[in-house]
Amino acid sequence: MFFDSLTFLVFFAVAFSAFWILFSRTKMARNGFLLLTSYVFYGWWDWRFLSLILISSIVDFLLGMSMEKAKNQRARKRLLVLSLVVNLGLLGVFKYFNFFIDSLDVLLEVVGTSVAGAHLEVVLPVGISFYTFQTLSYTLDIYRGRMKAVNDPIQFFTFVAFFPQLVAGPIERARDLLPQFGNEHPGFDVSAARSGLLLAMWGLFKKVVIADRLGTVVDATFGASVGLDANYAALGLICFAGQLYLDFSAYSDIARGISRMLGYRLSENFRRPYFAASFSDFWKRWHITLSSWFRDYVYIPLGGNRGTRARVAFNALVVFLVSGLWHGASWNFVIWGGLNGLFLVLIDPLLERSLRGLGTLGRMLTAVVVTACWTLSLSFFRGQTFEQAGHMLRALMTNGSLVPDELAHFPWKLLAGSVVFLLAVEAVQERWAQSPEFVLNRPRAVRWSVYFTLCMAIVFLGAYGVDVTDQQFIYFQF
Amino acid sequence: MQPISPLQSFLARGVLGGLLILVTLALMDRWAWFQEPQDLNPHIEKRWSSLRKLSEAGEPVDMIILGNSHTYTGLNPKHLSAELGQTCMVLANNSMSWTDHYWTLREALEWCTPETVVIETYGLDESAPGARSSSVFVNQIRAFKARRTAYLKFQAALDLFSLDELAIGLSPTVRNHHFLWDSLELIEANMERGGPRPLAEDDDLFLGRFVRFTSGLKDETLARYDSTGAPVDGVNWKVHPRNIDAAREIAELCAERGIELIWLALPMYHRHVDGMEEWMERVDSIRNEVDGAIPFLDLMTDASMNERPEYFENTYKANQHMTWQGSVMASHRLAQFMDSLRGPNRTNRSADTSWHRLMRHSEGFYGFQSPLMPDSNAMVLFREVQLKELDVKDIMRYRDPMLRNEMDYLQFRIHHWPGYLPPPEQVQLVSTWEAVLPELGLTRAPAAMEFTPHLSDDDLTVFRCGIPRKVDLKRLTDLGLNAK
Repeated sequence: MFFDSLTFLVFFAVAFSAFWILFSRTKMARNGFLLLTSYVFYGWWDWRFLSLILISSIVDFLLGMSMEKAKNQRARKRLLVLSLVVNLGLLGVFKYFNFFIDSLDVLLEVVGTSVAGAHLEVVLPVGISFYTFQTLSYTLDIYRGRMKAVNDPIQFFTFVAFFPQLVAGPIERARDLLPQFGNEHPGFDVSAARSGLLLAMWGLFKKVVIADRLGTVVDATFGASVGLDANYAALGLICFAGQLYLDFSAYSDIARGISRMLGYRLSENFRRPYFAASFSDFWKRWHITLSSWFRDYVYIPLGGNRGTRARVAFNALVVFLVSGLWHGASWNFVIWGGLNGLFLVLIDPLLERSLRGLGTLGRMLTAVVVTACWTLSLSFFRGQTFEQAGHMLRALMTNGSLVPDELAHFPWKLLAGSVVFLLAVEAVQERWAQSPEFVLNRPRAVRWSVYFTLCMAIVFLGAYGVDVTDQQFIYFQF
Repeated sequence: MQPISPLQSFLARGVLGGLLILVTLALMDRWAWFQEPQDLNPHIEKRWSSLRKLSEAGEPVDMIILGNSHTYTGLNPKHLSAELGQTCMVLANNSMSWTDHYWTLREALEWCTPETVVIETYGLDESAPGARSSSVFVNQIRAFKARRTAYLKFQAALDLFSLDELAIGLSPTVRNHHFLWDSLELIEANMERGGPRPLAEDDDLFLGRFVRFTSGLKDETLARYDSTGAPVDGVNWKVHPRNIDAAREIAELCAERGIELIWLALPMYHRHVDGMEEWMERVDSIRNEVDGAIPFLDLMTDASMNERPEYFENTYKANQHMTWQGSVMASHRLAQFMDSLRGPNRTNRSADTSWHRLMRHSEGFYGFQSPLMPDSNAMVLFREVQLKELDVKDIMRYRDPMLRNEMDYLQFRIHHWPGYLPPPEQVQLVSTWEAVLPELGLTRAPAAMEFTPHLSDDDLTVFRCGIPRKVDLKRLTDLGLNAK
């Protein structure tokens, strides 16, 4: 069930009404209902996926309680290790096992043997990387004494499976979200519901009207055979940078919006990353909840900013390589992560030295350099193989002649208009720190006009329909 | 009275907002601003319209034939009617699966009480209802639109479309919203017309036949079977479970109403299908699974049918239809089969003079771009002109809105192709057109029109070529025939 489907619209309308009319009064009813709807939502893909999320929830709930009661640090450590083994083990089996087998197979080829037969016939469960990290934050925080274990299994299970952010984040920290499933629920607040609705509609607009249309260009260029025109190769990469941002931030907006409508606050996940003033600034704006997860649970335990410059650089590189692997079981993602680590370590200091003092111009130049480097690195993110990534990079430097057929009648003006509109909105937000919700303070006629226009824009300008390839949310694959 | 709570107010406004959007879309649907160009050729609508007209006139329909394009090209209902003394009606639509046949039959039974239902087995395939990316979906939408009984449409909608496809399926505005950026001229034309295009009404008796292919398989196509093999894989023919359920539902429906049900497999050329026997065995095993007592006429594996190149459309595409000649023979074979089943116990209206009057109407051949229909895309340049030895019915410039390559068609339709001339497929119809082009001034250019068999029939031979859309045609001169 995708956020941009009619099925989800009906599902959410029913769930929202039922939640507030029938189940919002007590903690038990709220959590029980949300847990049930979350499992229905997740089981819609494949009911068998529910077993994994149940295992993860049960194990971490029990280990959290045991850790709380454990008498000494050693016992707590043992329980944490168990939690890590179970959660990362599940992730390892379902997401990385075949990747490791393939990699091992390449190594063993040298000595003339093979382990290719050890492949597992498993389907990657949707959102497994997201909920694994979310539930791990719970046991890690209890271990570190940053929060107390909960003794209500329904509350904990709801935290793990909360449907708005279950399959693609934001990856919430237990200490932020878990208490909201306790007794802190604020009750129905019409202004929160309105702003949530607007945020969700804005997300849907970004996804259906812009990201999916960019996706058509991306599919055509990345799917093209050899000889791709250099302009189209560049265009394909730029469009993918736009698509990835809009697609993922749209999902986060919808997740945050519908959570807000239900009375729950989720963390901001994107803050206009293409306006970043440096690579480190970029990572404070891009997939913020994952970056901060890695910062707190990997980077800082490795030593963080302490130590020599080389040590700090090493720590950052490790985080980026692991982050790359988190995204996908492929060396392409590892390279993508490594490249971004190198950008941070090598280019950031250069940028700071050369462009500092140029004021707004320097800031704009930095944003261009950061975005350009990021966009180039995405050839490894979007390319399914080394060959495809290499093909795109080579196409940028050669005079090809192939113009993808799929783009012969592409509505470029519509795309350009949508992108300009979006950039204008983002520039206003960046300059005046406004969110789309500023509309909510306007008179009713203006508000209703905005709602109506957004809906009509989604219906009439959206990239969907007969013979249009559905563009799934990109981060669902992780 | 209790004051309205913020929650109630929010929900009420949500419902109001939703209704506002639905009403806006419904109005646009009603005004037909986003009507698709294929609706200009609504043969599916016309079948239903014809059935309803027969029903309203109190004319009984004795036989309903369900199927896809193979059926409405492969059976000749007028011939079948004449041979059986019954009114036989083909209610087949392009690319339909058996799930759709079930709903077609349900709707048909609201309008008539047939004695026999014949169902062609080609649609017993792997296409799932509502497969959005395939041609099935669009045709399913058209067939759905053409039906009228509200409660059945509601039930059918739930069966044929997934929830996600419902809006696309039901609303042309949603489905064709892309006209806004790729075919604005269509919206303008639709707005100018000021409402949905009415069905062309005429006095013809339309029993559901549509396209007739006149030329059979040719040597070059036959040679491809040697070089490339059969294009259709009958060995691995798959059937979607929903279609098997539909087969069962159709059988039950017929049994409930006391209607005789017959399965019919129309043929394809024997070298066109690899594993024809295995395919038909699969069909037969499904028939046995559903109800072994259902009679099954298998013309697919019948050598007297499938080995006659002249019975089949000259194509190597997987989707091979029958020619007019083949359709007459298939109809004859079906009539014989039906006689063998019940013989004299079947209704026979041969002695009924009012039935004869009904059948005396010419069967409406409903071709593409009929000049009988007002069609903003078709500009008739001349009608009924004698050009040298050719008796030209009309010369037309046709704009296919689905073609986005800035080309129009120039089309000649010629009555009764003279027998002393070479066959039309061996010649080109050539002419010279004159036009004023913005950048070149007065320009002359040759036009070489090719025979277009899928638009031709026994009476009309159609030639076509493309001309640039920007050409403002002034004159056509030097008409002649060139041997190819």
